[in-house]
Amino acid sequence: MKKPRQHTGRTAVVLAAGSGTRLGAGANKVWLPLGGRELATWSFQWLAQTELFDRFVIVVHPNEREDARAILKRHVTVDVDIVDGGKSRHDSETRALEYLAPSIESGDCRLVLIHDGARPLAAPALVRRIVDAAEECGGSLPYLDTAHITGAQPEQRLVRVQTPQVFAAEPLLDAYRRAARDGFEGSDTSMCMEQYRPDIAVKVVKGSAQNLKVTYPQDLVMAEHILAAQSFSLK
Amino acid sequence: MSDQPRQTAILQCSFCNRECEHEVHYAGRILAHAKCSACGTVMQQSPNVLRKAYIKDLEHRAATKPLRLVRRILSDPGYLFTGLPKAIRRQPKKFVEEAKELRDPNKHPDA
Repeated sequence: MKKPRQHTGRTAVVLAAGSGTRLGAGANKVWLPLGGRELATWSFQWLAQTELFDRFVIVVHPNEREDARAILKRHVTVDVDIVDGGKSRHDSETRALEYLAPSIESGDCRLVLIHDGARPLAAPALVRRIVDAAEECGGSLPYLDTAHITGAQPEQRLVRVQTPQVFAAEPLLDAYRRAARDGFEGSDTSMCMEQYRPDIAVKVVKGSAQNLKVTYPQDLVMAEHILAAQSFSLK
Repeated sequence: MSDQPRQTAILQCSFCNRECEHEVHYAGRILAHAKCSACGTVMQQSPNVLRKAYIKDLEHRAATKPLRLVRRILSDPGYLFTGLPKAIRRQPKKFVEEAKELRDPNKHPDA
């Protein structure tokens, strides 16, 4: 049992089930070492540091449940509930929300943050901005402008959406239940909300280039350098 | 998991663009190189940059070891009697392995 947390009505969910292990092709990148500990554990470090959440959930591949438990015990200072992931990201999100359903329906959980375990550098300041915006509007997500890359005019520009994404818990659960009935699969949380609960306003918050998603091997090197340059302590 | 100098994981290759298994090699906590299983492309840090990063990181590891050890023992007192003696015995081999990973993989393809 770790440090008890003050009730805030907010839950943080980290998706770490991975696509690689679903294909049976090899290890899940979220368990690769980064700065001396497994990549996915950094997210809990920053999320716990904000003191905004009273509950933490990680969604893992069923085969990785025991490894995940041992890793979390060693490196994470808060209690984390482990939920088995599904066949896709959307399916994993649905399972996490169904796991949280009793506390959402009782009103105990008001707000849910969903974060990609392959983004180990979502700093506490970014998390605070997104949560503040979601408290205000009902939903919030970080984005990065691509105008400097594409040279597009402001009205034509594309943005890169990041995680963590934060939504009011009850509409989020409702959207995923409706999606399950329709067989709809969104590529991220906001897509499902847009489809089924467009009544929930979503505020976009400027993200951070530092909040990279580990996709290529060189992303790991970049993440190592960012962590080392900040003495393994993001603000 | 994180103590192993070689790990495999699904990553996307920046050369062939396939999402496939990569063998990832570490020198201590620093990624030394990663090899794509599909096209064989090796992504590596320059040996000089890697050595400097490794030494800097080694200094950080040494400086923070006492605190990390205390935290570990506080969270799992049994570690002092079971895990720690084994970990001490593993150290020489571990540092040899780390030194091997500092070599240029193009000159030492077996590394």
